Amino acid sequence: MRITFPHMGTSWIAFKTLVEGMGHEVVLPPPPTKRTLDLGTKYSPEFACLPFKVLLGTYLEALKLGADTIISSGGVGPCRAGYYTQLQGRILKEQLGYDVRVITFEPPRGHLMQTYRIIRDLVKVSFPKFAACAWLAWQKLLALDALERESHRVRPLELEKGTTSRILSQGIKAIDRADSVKEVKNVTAAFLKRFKEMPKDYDYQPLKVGVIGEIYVVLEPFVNLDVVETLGHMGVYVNRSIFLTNWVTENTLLDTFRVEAERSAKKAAGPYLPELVGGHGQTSIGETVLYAKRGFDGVVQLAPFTCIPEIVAKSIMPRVSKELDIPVLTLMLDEQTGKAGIATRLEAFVDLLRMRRNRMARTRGETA
Amino acid sequence: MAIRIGIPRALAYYSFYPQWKTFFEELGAEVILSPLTNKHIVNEGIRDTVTDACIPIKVYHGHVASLAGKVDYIFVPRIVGLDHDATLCPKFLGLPDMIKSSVKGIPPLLTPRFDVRDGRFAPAKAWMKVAEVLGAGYRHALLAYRKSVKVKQYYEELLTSRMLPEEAVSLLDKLAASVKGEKKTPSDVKSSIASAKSSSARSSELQNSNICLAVVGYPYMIYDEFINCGLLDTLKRLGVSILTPEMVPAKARQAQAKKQPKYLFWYYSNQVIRSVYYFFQENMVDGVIHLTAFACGPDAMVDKLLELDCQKHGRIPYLSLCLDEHTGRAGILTRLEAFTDMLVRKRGVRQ
Ligand code: SF4
Ligand code: SF4
Repeated sequence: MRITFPHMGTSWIAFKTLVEGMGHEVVLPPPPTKRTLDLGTKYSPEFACLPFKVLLGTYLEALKLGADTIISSGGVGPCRAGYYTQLQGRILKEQLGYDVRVITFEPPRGHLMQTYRIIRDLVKVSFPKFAACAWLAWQKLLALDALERESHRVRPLELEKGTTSRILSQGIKAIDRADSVKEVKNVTAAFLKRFKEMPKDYDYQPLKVGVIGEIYVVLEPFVNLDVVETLGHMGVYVNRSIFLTNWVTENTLLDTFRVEAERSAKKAAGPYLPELVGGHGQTSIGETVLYAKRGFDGVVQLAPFTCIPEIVAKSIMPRVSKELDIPVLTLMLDEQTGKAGIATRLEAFVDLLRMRRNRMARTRGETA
Repeated sequence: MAIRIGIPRALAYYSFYPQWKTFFEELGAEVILSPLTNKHIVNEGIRDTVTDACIPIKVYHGHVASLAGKVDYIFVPRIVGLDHDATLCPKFLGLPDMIKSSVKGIPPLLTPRFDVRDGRFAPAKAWMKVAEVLGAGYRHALLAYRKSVKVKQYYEELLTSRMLPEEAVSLLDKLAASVKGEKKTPSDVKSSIASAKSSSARSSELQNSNICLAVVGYPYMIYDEFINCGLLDTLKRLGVSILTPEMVPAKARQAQAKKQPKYLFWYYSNQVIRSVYYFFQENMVDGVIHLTAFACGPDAMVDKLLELDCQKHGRIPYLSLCLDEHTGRAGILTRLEAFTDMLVRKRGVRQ
């Protein structure tokens, strides 16, 4: 089998390790580009959410590169993501005539046997060998998240613009190349050290902004038009609420054993949105409350156009923003959104946050 | 003075109004229904909602705003689950929260949470809580609840006899009034319902020689004449008879569930798909019209599925109409005319 999978941020590195570990050939999903999006948009329903379109485009490109099997995750709603592969599979097969196998991993909760069977059919090597690869893949995910998290912290402090991004991309490549857990750990340590040693402006007090929203647009820089990096270059410390490793533990392990994840965000959302609305809608509200309480300067909400949960969140956001006095910028992304437009809006937002901070410092100074 | 309860004439109203009304009136409250959707309501709704909201949600906000100052409470239920297969669209799940954050100057809301997945008695319990807020005793409330369930059953029977919601609502209203005034017995009510059903079924029987179209979509799209620019009337004038999801008995819809490889995650969407499968199975329709709202999340999926299914099922002609606040009558009319013309021609060729 020649297997491909969704492209989401840097996670492809771990998936590649995992699928190769099963004994299959991997057809790497090409990083999404304008062409991917155009291709996906052409065959998607008009109001499908942006991730649906990008993923469909990615699959089409991977099929052209020779893939014959797609592995993706399912879900049980109430959001659309869980239905993606159902519909994408039908579009690929019935409408476009591809002979392709679509394998969907449902969340293990309630589907343990099914999950087991899929894995049993897929894994072509001995179990211990596969387990070792899975462990390596997981370590790579952890390492990628660690590097990214650190890059968010140091980027606003860099003296020479671009240093952080350069180190990060070298680090990502090194993690991809690493073929043992030990090497992954060494590489991670080495790059964390480079972040530590790069020239920084230690006196600078960056604005602190939380980035929340729907997981795919938060994690895939192509889709969010590099929001995180752009903010960093404007001298803003970005705290991203979603990292893939947290998400995986919450949605597979914890969920299987019915441990409630994201408890604090859920609780914080309570007074504003006591109901789960699918996707990340409720968490978006909860995270905003938490960021306000942690003294952040602002929040950027990222959502695909027509994203149901985030529209619910967006309608409630003004109240949260007003009552807790935290500015929120909502960016609804669709295939027409351009990078320049986003940068302008971010700039205006950051200006506003700066003025607000200065004003607050002044009033604090006066009362003191 | 009786407590006045406002009910917005939108969203789940079309599925439940007679039940809601019965419950509140049995408890001695006065029910005030917002007017039919009109330009003013739509504009109010647009003002209060985020631009990304779909038209039914905007319209709902407008209906809520139109009740402000006229009632003591507005009934904005949080309907989460109506069966065990799915929840409703997330916008129903967060509805009271959106209303609270967006519409200014409104009276307190009654927001019971309905989810049958919480247990068989969960809906009854939710109603008991509502009764408590209104100061009604437990026994009284229980009786009101029982009666409301009965009325809902009548309502659904009328709908499956192919009566349209507004008509069924006013028939039930008349019956309720006559029970009070002329001391009619429940069995009289039953027989009146039965005769109304059979005459409604007969009149649709008569039209059976015509072209018959499935008009599917969510009840708040199909039956809100303002949103859909009088679609049903237009079809009638074009001499077409129609079938909607509500005209299929719930059991028959449920029986189609097994044809779905994976259930959709939204109650109303499943009803749409299942009723179309039913129409296909019974060979009842010449074509399918799908009414969808601009930027509706679930419908992006439903619409494509229907398109593929119509194709698969012997190329049944399929027309998808996407509606928003800018949709014009003329545009709809042209498309409907073209579609029905095509069907007439197709039928002519076949015979
Ligand atoms: S959360 Fe939003 S983007 Fe994700 S599947 Fe749901 S509607 Fe689409
Ligand atoms: S199902 Fe569609 S039309 Fe209905 S509330 Fe949800 S998004 Fe709006």
